[in-house]
Amino acid sequence: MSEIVGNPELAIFFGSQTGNAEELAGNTAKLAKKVGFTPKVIDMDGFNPENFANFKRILIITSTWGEGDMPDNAEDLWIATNEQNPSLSEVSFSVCAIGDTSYDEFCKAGIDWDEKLVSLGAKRVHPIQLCDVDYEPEWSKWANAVIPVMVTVDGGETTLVSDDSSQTIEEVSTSETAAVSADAGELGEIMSGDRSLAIFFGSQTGNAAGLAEKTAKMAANYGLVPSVIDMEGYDPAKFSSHKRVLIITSTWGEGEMPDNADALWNATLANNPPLSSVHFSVCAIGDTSYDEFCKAGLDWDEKFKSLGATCIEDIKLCDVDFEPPWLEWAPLALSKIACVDSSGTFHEELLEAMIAFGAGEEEEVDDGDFTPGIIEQAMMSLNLKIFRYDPLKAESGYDTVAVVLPGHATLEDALVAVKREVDGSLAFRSGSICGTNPLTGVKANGRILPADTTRVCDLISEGGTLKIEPLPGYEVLKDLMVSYDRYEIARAKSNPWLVADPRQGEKLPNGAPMGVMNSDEATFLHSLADVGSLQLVNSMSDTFDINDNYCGPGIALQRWVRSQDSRSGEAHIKQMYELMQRKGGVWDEADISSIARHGIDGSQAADSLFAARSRLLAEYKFTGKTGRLVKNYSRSVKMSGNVNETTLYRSVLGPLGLGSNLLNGVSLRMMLGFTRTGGPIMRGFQGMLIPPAGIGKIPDMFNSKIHNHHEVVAIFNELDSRF
Amino acid sequence: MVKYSYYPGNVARQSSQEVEDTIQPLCKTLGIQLIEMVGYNSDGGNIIRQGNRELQLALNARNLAIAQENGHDIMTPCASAQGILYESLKTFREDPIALAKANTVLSKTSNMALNADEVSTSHLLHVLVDEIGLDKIEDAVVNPLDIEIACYYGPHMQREGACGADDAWNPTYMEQLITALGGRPVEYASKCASVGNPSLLTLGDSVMKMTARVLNDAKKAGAKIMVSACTLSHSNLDSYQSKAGRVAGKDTNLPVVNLTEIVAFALGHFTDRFAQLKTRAMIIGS
Repeated sequence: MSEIVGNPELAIFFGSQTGNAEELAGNTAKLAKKVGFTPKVIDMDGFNPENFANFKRILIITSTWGEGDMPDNAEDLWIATNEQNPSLSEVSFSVCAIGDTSYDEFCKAGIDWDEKLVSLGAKRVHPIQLCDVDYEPEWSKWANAVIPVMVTVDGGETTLVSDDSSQTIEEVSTSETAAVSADAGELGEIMSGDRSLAIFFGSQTGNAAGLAEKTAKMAANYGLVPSVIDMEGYDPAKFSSHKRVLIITSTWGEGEMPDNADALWNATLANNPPLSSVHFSVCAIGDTSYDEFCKAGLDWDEKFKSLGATCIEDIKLCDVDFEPPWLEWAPLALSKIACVDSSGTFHEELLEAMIAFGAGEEEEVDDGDFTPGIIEQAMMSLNLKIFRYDPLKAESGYDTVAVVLPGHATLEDALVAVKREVDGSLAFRSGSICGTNPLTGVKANGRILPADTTRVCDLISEGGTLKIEPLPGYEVLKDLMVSYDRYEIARAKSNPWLVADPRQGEKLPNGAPMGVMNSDEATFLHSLADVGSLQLVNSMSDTFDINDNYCGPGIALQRWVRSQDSRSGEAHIKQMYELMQRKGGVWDEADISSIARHGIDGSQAADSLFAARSRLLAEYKFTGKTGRLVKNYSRSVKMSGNVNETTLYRSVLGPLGLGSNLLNGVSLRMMLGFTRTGGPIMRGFQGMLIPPAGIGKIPDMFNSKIHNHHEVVAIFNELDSRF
Repeated sequence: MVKYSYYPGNVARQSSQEVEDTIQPLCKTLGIQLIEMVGYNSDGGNIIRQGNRELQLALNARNLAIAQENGHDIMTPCASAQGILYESLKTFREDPIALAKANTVLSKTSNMALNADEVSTSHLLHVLVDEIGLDKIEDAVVNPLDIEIACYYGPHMQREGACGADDAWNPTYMEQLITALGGRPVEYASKCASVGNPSLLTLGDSVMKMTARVLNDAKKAGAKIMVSACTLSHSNLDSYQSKAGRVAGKDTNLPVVNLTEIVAFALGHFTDRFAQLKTRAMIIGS
């Protein structure tokens, strides 16, 4: 952590009813101490408001009690402050408020303090942070952002946050900014002062806006304080107030600006504001199937250059699968723009250190009570054998690429590396930067896995080959990218929605509605389909890619869950059973064990499919081939202790099935000893000669009973009298 | 002498007598003593489980308890049986309530009690590689196989913990074994894929297509013979292969034998059958 001179005082007030705010105040003090402050944790109880002015820097952490009331220890101070109204013009402050969104007056005590201090002349140097019951993550963001800001208070470079911020500005990430509390080493100088970054988005469908938000989150790693700004309604004259600008924009129609950027573009063309003090970079989203690919982004890039702005990183042009190229651009653009100091000077010599800093290579492990687990793994050399499919030429094959990666890299990291370094045309689904996107699934050395959260080192050892293929059972669009239409269509047809019968609702004493499912029931219901991705579960089945009419185990799970939901109406439950029972339903799965082997998710899905089948057999009274198979298999085991395939073939296939076997060569192969590799040929003929054997099958038509057969009968009688 | 409680599975002593014919002499040659599990019952084949999970668990608890009383872990020549036994044992080890329920039934019906930590299960393949050792097997070879062989594992035992120290997803034990027996293993993609045996009698085209996929993949890879570690799946792969080929429109003609057979042949047992198998492979092709 970077030190500040003189160990200035930082007052941290807490208003606490249950001790949570007090604890957070203590933790905030620890953080503040690390950067050189002399923190002073102050109980609001008994504090004289006249003494507020003795502190230049104040942090307030307070909970809210009851219906928007101050906690007990803060009540007297609140009343006294309102009576005395001390002048706090020399005070810089910020508030962290803890509350509960289920109450109307969420975080009211904190909001009251925030407004009161502003009314008394204090400077709000960081926006109030409102925290829900799971308050720690939000507090952490706030503390990591506000402490560096407090460092600058004496230097006169305090970032002021205006109350009347423009409606066009979304301060989406100010609470998540500037993790500069980490040791910045040689970067120390440029990390102080103004670290603001303006991220403009021009977006028609929301994609560019989404990328802007993700870029803002990433910016905090580089010690930047980002603001995500909608181009709609923005005044181009304000462009020059920013030293650092990133533009993320899509292109609409035939090379046009997206709707929200149109007015700003025209105004910029008309006004031509000088931008000589601005450093910028552009990320453009487009579609190569259009002639004017990424034209809007290219226009902004050229315009900014023509207005004197300095392009800090070349424009990035992204096709419809825009996340991978954005992910290439964002770290580069951020690390460079973060090397622009508060005077607007670019420090190229710091770039290497900044890249390392942004990647977290200089972060220190907090030696507190909790030591994070080590996830870094050694570098690995391996061969990636990647499936390729060119839809235009209808050609497929495999590319083999030798790569060296850290073992903790994910499959997606590996694919991004290949795309970046070897072949930019490689197509695959990319997850969010936070991971856990169920649609990133691939087949990797036989396993069905999400690419964005699966580590390479968990699949392969040094020097091995990792074969990456698209998910089976889905149409391949290009390379590893599949269409999930089959899943979506089946899901739409399966009606897995909640359809409840009309019933009396349950209400709390205050009249508010409440759920009617107890927690045990809800947990059970959730456990029936507690899998990471239903789409991936489909691909775990060896039947799914063989049988186009099979809805897949993922859809079957949804139907099963809904049929077990106590809130479902009777007619809907019956409909679910019928959908599961009919062709394309759960009986179309040829071998559940092919699913069960796929880890926890596969095992969970298999358990549920077996349970669904049990329920259906009971519901439909063992009718149909499948019912006859289970019933007769069980009965033959009960009768002798072992299964009798002869009677099973006869009872399940019936005369027609046996006749079919006779005609299509199955019986012939059995009879001629092909199954016995030269064993006595009479074995094969026994089945023909002595009824009631299945035709051409089974030497032991009538199983002899096992030793202690009565024990097996007793087990059946004990557990299931239906057989 | 290594001793195992021998669980034949559902078909070795019924429709697939050739498994029983060959496992006994091969084990004798390699110093494995098969201890009979007197009164063993069917493992339910995951068919009974479809009707009643607790019933299949109780049936397997009885088999495991018999082996426990024998004082020797279970070995089976069937991948499907190994998968079911392993999964039952895993359930009993991880779910004390399931174990207690099964033991309640056992105590009422069989006067036995299962201690899930006192018994384990293995497939013959893993006993041969992990316990006996490939060197010893290689030394015992009398008639080297000298032919291209595709190894079929199936999905049932290919899961962590159920397949010895082999890789559950890219197994190589059978290939190593075939090499030790003087054969030439061929690699193909679907060696762990299901052929849909549990639904052989109930699903038509799907099971035939799944069967054809495995056979065709092996054939395309240059196999002259397929060896199956699953005695249940063998029925699909062999008896139904012509039908599978017609339904899927693929070349599926390939002699398919059980693992026990090919090992016994290489160790010098049933030379007439081995000769017939080679004739089929070289001349008839199916």
